[in-house]
Amino acid sequence: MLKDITLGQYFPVESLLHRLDPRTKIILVICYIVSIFLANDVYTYLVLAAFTFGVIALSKVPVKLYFRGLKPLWLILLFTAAINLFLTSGTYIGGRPFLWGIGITWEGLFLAIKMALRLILLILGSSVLTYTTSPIALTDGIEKLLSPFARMGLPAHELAMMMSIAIRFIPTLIEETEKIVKAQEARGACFDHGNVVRRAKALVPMLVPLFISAFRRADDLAVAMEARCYRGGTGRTRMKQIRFSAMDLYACLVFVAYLGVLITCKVVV
Amino acid sequence: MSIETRALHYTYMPGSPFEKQALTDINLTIRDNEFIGLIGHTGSGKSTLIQHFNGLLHPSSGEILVGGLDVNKKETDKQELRRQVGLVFQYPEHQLFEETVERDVAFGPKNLGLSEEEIHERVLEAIHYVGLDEALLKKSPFELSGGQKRRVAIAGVLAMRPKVLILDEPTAGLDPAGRDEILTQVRALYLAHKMTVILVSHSMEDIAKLATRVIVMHKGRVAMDGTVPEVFARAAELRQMGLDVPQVTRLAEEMAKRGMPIGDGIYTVERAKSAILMQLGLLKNQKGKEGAGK
Repeated sequence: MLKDITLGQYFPVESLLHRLDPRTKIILVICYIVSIFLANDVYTYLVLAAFTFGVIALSKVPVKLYFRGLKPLWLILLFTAAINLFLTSGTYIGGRPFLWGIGITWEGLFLAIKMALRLILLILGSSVLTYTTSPIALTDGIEKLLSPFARMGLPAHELAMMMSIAIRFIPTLIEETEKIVKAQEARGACFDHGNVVRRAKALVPMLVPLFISAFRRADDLAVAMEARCYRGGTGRTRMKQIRFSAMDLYACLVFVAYLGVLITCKVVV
Repeated sequence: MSIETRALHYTYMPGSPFEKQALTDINLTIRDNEFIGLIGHTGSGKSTLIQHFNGLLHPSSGEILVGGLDVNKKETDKQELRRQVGLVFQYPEHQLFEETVERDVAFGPKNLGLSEEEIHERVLEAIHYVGLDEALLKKSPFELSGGQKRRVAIAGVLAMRPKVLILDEPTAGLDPAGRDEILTQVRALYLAHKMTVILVSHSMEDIAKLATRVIVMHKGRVAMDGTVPEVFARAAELRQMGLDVPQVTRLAEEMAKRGMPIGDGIYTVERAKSAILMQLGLLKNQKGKEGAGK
């Protein structure tokens, strides 16, 4: 059950997108998300889809993986589609509502399709970032992007450090959970039987040791970091410098070109 | 109670890029009242194998019978299986969770649905087996020392009164005194209750001292299976697998090389001591004879 969790989906292959500066990717993804909301007719959606799949192809990550990433969200997709489908006013398909004033309108149908496409493209586009950027590069990028705000008192380095530690410990804690579950099962515990109350109670023998071990690990990590003279971000250099290169410039230019096409489509058509 | 495996294979995460064949073609019969020493390099499949013995893992293919129960079958009662086969994981003190030692040890018996009196009786018995004081029963397990915590955790498994006791490196991270105590208690349990014991250990000394049969795992296969002398006689092979023979055996080898053979089959310190004494005695006698000859 726990093995199904895929966090930190970084897919390590060599591609142009993998080599980009994480900052470029973060900013472009934010711009991309905004650009999704510019699209509202067939042509703009075509431009949007073409760009998205072009980028996906460039990432050299199997397309199958992108669509697998959509799976956990199908409920939300279905829910928004249904709401739009039934609750949009306009001309009913077939001329009249079919039950108690509830019916599907043409406007609702289009809106539902549009919203579903929007969500799907949003997820696909932002997964490009997580598939092509390792968690460490990602937090480095976020730290660099937030560093101008450090003067205003934003603890950019600390935030980034907390994030990378949290990401680092997810697999460790999953492993730990599996071990504890097994150990308690060996003592006759049952995690998948009985009603809700019984199941919730059955979690106590799992959660208590897990919390204790999480605190122990945090303690150990703090000591290990201090032993290596960690004292926050000031004056700290890094092994992997992130640099804005010519490639990042090209990436930005390509994105601007895409935006141009999108806006032209929107204005002209 | 016996455990039997036939052509047992196990693969971790089949069908994913992380697929790993952990066990290959394991055929073992573990009989009643054996004391098995299970050794092998890290990642050789020891831990995976023992988790099959109480149904925590299911073989990818092959059969496993525990006391006649087929672990593979859906209708096999897992609770019953786990009552029969007690498994103490590595660092078992990390699984403690209750407010008092008593309640933590009672967790297993409680899951078996026993009566209050029966549970209490078993808790006392288990605490006694592992050599803990009854005064600790009302304490929080988190106040205890590392060695005491470990014994509470082992008591938690013993309170289920298993017929087979599996211990995965029960002495890892303990001081020498704590180590000896736990192993002595395991041995006492084995002798008193005709239990089957499977001890996973990296200490060849402990294995040599305690086991009646040694199983060596290597790369997911059973590489050797025999008595202590049979296995430790193959020192070169063991070293190739990243294992070794007991240190006294190495001492005996070295002594033989340097011209003072004290005999083969030296696996424990006690045995080495008497052999060396005997050898010294012989030397003295010879010297005495030589002296008399002059």
